[in-house]
Parts: sequence; C-alpha cells; structure tokens
Amino acid sequence: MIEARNLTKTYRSAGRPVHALEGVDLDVAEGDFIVIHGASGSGKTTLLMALGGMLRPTSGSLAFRGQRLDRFAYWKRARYRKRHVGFVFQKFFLLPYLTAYDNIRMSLSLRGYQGDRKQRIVDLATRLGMADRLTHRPSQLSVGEQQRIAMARAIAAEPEIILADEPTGNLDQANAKTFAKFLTNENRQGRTIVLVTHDTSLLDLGNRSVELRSGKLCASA
Amino acid sequence: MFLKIIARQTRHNWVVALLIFLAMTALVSLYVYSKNTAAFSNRSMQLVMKNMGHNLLILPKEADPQAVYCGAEGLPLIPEDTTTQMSKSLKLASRYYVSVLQETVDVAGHSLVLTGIAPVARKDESREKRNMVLPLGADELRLGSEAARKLGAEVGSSLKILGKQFHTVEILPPKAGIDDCRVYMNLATCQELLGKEGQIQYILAFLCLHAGSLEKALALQEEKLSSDFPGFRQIARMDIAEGRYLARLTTSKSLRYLLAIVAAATVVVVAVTGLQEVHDRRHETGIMIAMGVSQTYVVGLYLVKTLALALAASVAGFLLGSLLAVQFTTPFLVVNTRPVTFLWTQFPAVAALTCAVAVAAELVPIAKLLSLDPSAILTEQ
Repeated sequence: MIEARNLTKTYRSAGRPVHALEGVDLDVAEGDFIVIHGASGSGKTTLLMALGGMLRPTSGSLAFRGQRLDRFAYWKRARYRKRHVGFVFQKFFLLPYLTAYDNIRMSLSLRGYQGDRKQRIVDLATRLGMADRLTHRPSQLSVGEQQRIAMARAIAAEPEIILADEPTGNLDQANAKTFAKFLTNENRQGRTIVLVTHDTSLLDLGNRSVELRSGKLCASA
Repeated sequence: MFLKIIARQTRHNWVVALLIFLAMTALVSLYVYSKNTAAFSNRSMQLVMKNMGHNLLILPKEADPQAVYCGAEGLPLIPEDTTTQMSKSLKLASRYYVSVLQETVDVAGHSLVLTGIAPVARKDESREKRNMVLPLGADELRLGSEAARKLGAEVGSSLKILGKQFHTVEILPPKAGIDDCRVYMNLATCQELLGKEGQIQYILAFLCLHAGSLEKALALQEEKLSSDFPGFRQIARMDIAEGRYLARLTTSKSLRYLLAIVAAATVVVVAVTGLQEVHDRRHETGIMIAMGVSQTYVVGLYLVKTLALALAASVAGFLLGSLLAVQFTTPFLVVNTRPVTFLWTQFPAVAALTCAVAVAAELVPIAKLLSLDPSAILTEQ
C-alpha cells in the first residue's frame, strides 16, 4: 500500500542540518497495524507526517499504491489525505467552538462523505460510548472523551489508513486501554493503522512493530 | 459547514470580531460624515461666494470697465443674443450668464443706476445653481440697499420709474459698492423704457474653476473667448474666484488626508488582529489541512469572515456617519437647495471601499497563514 525507500528528511536548525530521518525503508501493507516506537526526537512523528503526505522527504521515494507521493503537488497530497488518511494526534485538536457532533460532521463535510452523515455520527458515537455527549463542546468533555471524539472524527469518513501520533499520550491507563481496543477493532475490520508511540506497552497492539533511533529504522518485529 | 464554522468561530472569539468591526465602523462613519458634511459645506461656501456676485465681467474690447463700476454713461451697445451665443458655446467654462443694460436715471429726485437684467442659462446647468440671479417680472423691481433707502422703499411697496408703475419684490443686502445704488428690473422692460430694444452693454458670468488652478482656468477661458468671441474681453474678480477655490480645497480635499490616516490606522488594527488570529488558530488550520482541505478553503474562512464584518461595519458606519452629519451640521449648515441628509446613493461605494480596506488589511495575515507548516504545528509540544 505504502512503500518508503531510503527516506531521508533533513531540517535546518540554527543553521545546522538536523537529520530527522536517514535512509528509512518501510512497507505498509493493506490491513497492517504497525507500531513505530522510539525515544523522543527519534523521528517517529516525522515519518508519520511523511506517510500522511504532510511533508515532503528530502530524498528517497515514497509511494502510495505505486504512485510517487513524494512527487505529488500540494493539492494532490491534500487530495490523498482527504480520500485515504485519517489522523489522530496526542493533543486531539478539536475545534473548541464546535460541539462534538459538529467536530465529527466537519470531517464528513470536508471529505465529502456521501452517506447519511447524521446516522454515521450517531453510530460512531454509540460505538465509542459518546452518544449522550454529542451536544457538548470539547471544553465540557473529559480528556478521554475528547480523544474518542478525535478518533471518531478521524475514521468518520472511512479512510483506509489511520495515522495516530502518540494518541494515548494524554490518557490515563483505563482510557488508553479503551482506545487501544478500539484501534484493534478498526484494524480487524480492515483498516490500515500506523501508530507512533514511545509507550512500549503498546508494542503488542499491532501485527508489526518497528523502532526508530536517531532517524534510522533499527528493528522490525 | 463553511459558514457554520465562520459563524461559530466568530461567536467564540467575539472580542476579536468586535475589535475589527469597531475599527472598520469608525473608518466608515468618519468617511461618510466627512463626505456628507464636505459636500454640503462646500455647497454652502459656493452659495456664499455666489451671493458676493459673479466673478467674471465680459464686455466689448472697446468698452471702458470704469463705466460699469461707476454706473457712468458711454458703454457701447451689443446685440442681446450675444449672451445666448455664449451660453451655447460649451467650450467656454463660464456659465450662469446675465445680460445687462444699465443707465443712470433720476428716480424721485435721486440719481440711481437703472439696471435691466436677464439670466441666460446654459443647457448643462443644474436647476439649483440657476437661481444665482433670479429673473424679474415685467413690473418687478429688485433694489440695492442704498437705492431702497433713498426711495424709502420696502418689499411690496410700489414705485413709479420713467412713467411706469413697479412693485418691489426684494431689497438686496448692502455690498458697499455701486450695486447698492442699482434698481434692477426685467431686461425687456428696461430696454423699452430706455428705447434700446434688443441691446445690452455687458455680460456677467461665473467661471467654474475645475482646471486645477485659478491661473490655468482663467487662461483657458481667455483663450477660448478670444477664439470664439474675438471682439470681447473678460475681467475676473479674483477675490471671489479665489474664495470659491479655497472653499473647495478646505471642505473637500483637506479631509482626504485625515481620512487616509484613519484608513491606515484601521488597516494596521485589522492586520495585527488578523496576524494574532492566524497564530491563535494555527492548530485548527493544521488539523483542517491534515483532513485534506485546500489552502483556498482555509484562506476563505478568514477572508469571508473579514468581508462579512466589513459589510456589517459599512452598514453601521454609514448609518452612524450620516446620523452624526445630520445631527451636528444641520443647525449651522443651512443649504436651501440641498439639505444635509442620508445619502443612500453613496452606500454601494462605501461598502465597496470598506471591503477593499478589509481585503488589503488581510493580505499580511493571509501570507502568514499560507506560510504555516502544518506538520510542525500538529507536532508542537
């Protein structure tokens, strides 16, 4: 599905080059659940952003179903994300002025979801145990509830790939467990998931885990 | 969803929206107020200048202007239709022509200047300006202040001049000149009484100064008069001309500088507020881009919101500016021909101008918005 070959990403910080990724090779097959782990600053998030078409690699190739994602124009990468990718972040980034319902609906609207939007939102909220919280604003929800709404927003338009960046970083153990279970269920239904974490307890969640050290892929299990 | 996001975001961040709205309302109200009052104070000054008299005397080259100023004998006669010919020549900048025939006569033992007048309008003159010198009926008199004093006349009183009965319709305010001693009457009646049918001696006119400067306007008029009417010359009353010109400068043009300063301040307020907003909403921008929305969509969210605020501000500013103009200027700015009022026809231009200022002010925040790196924003610690 996604093939990364000899991927590098170099930033400049205070005039000096910082190598976030160095020669990374990674294959993501359809239905995979890959956990990328590593210490802070190891390049996990940079790799995730590259896979999501949010940044261009400095060199190497990145292909989605044979098409060179790294060569896509800005609008084409936006279309790729719109059609195929759902992001979940550690900080959720829910829009504070919209209700939980509207936050999910925004995703459906922006991605041009063709089905019954209201029904889809209610179904998702029910699955996530949030049916009675849809009229609440993010500030009226607990951290765990906010993450569930962020998850619902990411998968609402049924993207094929979910890219999750430290999604349990702000959650307590119970919420993290619920969230992990939800991800596993999504994967069982055929959704491809790439999860970035520094929490080693989540390594068993996926069918595959890889470790990044200083921008280099070190181990794959 | 697009409009819902804008509406909810505006309500959520109402302080910023209010600040932008107030800044633009202040600009619009000042613009409308100054435009409104400038137009009317300009018109008021025009009328004051016009009441001082015509600023152009056109007479045959061989005529001695001293005779005009003193009401003396010896002015050559010219055909009355000369004025009509001049009024038809739109190449001349002069207008509001008045044909004049004068002669010093004895009225009830007093030596007064009998002055026959007939206004001749150009076809492109507006009705409100044609009343500079109102025509007189066959048996009507308009008296200079000194003539009225000598004759003991009042408005409505009857007078017999050269055997014909007249009644006084107006007594003019004093001007401390020969005009105070004039007895104005209908030109045809005057010609008949003096036995000079179809003839006049000189023409009064008003030169409109639209050529950029006094000297340029006068030179242009001189050039056209000598080419089209070579037997005539003109004498300008520079004080009236200059007063009129300065009135235009002070009432219309100087306000533009003030307006430019306020417009610049508004642009700065909106731009700085916009920059802050782009920074505050960067996560929202980042997550939208992660969802695959286009930059146009994100820019549209900012621009449409600002344009909506600009439109609202143009309505509020227009009403406020007009109201202030009416409330503050009506007591002292009296222009009979055109009262200070709400100039609704100006609203489309006001709204367009406000939107233009809003868009100009949003250019810097939009540039900042487009330069954001969403991947960096979404991974901020």
